[in-house]
Amino acid sequence: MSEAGLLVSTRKGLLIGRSSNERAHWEWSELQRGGWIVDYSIFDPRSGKIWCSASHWQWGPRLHYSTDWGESWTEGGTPAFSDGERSVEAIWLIEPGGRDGLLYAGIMPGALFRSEDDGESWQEVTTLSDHPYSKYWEPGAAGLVFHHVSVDPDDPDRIVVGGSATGIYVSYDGGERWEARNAGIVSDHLPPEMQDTAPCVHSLFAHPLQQGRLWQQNHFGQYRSDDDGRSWIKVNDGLPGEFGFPTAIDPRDPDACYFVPHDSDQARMPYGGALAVYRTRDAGASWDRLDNGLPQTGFFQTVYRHALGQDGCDPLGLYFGSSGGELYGSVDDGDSWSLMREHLAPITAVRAWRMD
Amino acid sequence: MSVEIRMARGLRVHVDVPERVEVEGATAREAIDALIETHPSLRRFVLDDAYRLREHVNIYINDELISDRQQLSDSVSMGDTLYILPAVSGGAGDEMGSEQERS
Repeated sequence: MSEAGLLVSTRKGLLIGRSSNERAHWEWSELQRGGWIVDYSIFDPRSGKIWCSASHWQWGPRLHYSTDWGESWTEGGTPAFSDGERSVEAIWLIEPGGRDGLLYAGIMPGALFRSEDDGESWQEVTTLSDHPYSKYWEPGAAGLVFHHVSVDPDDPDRIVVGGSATGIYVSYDGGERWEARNAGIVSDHLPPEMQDTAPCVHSLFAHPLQQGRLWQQNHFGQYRSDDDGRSWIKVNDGLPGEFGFPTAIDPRDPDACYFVPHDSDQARMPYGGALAVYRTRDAGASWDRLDNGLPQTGFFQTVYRHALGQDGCDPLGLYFGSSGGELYGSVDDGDSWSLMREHLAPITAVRAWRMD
Repeated sequence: MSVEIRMARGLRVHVDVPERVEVEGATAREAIDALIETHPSLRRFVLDDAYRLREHVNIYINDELISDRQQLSDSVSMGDTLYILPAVSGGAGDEMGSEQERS
């Protein structure tokens, strides 16, 4: 058993939670960065910093960090394009890299930025922006965004990235070269001869314990790869449908994964208004419907792509938020859930970590 | 020539700048550049990466909205007041949920 920290990013600010009594109780911060659209927040265990990416309709995007649980915030460097044409509209992701001081930022419009000095300065990863397939990238409903980055904890030069709608790219040399890894993904929005160019990735994780194991929620299905995306296996059997946004892996078990299926890209809410998380423990061969404690009627909200997080504890804690500002949590691998907060603004991201 | 720049309250709640600053400049661009030189923290609030005026920020010279949002070439004269104001359009996307699905 361990305690956990929890970052709940919303369209009106950030809440920071800290558990006690073996995650039975949670102490919450006041609203942080109030009035700003908090796109993403994450704790970096290397530096002890909570990073908060927020944007403002009038004043643009900013990155801040706190080392004291939100008591005070310091503005970090903010990624910026240097070509005199593009401008960073929002920072959808901050991902700590494998080396001290190395951070990645997923940007709208469609770019990856990298910092080697713990967020003081940022450089666009132009090798990705200039990939031959970039001419095929097209915005999803919320824009053209790189929103998932996985850095191998044992090899910081192995990086897996995905976005909407950019497809998936893997680098083995720290981002000097990128290989598209989209073969086998079925994309209804692309003609047959372009299927491997720019699928619409909704979420994507590389498992830290098994090199090559990727989990993906795509616009058109749930997928697993065992070979770093050289091939993809659709794992929909047992799930109610293909569409959905978030994915959570279980860091203890490469064969375990969690999805929150939604009813098509037309409705974008749980099937029949019944909220459920689905879990596999056999690499997608079968799925458990986890709905104990979740509303089973009249739930017409969306769970966004970053709004499902896990804390790395044992048993695994899982937490997710909805577009209606409800936060649900489980501390028993998803077997049972409880409503942790309500009446929040739309929840954009939920990230958790184990406090050793 | 000297002009006065006044910053809106909605800007000053986010960045520590005085309400009024005297700068030298013959165009709105020169005045804004002079302002940012003395108050660099304003840069990202007012201008985007390409040094364009942010979409939901307005600049008035006295009682007239500037006409050149791209280059900020509108002339200013001694004694003019230049206002940096948030556009009320700025909240529309939030209320309407223009990126509601984040997909």
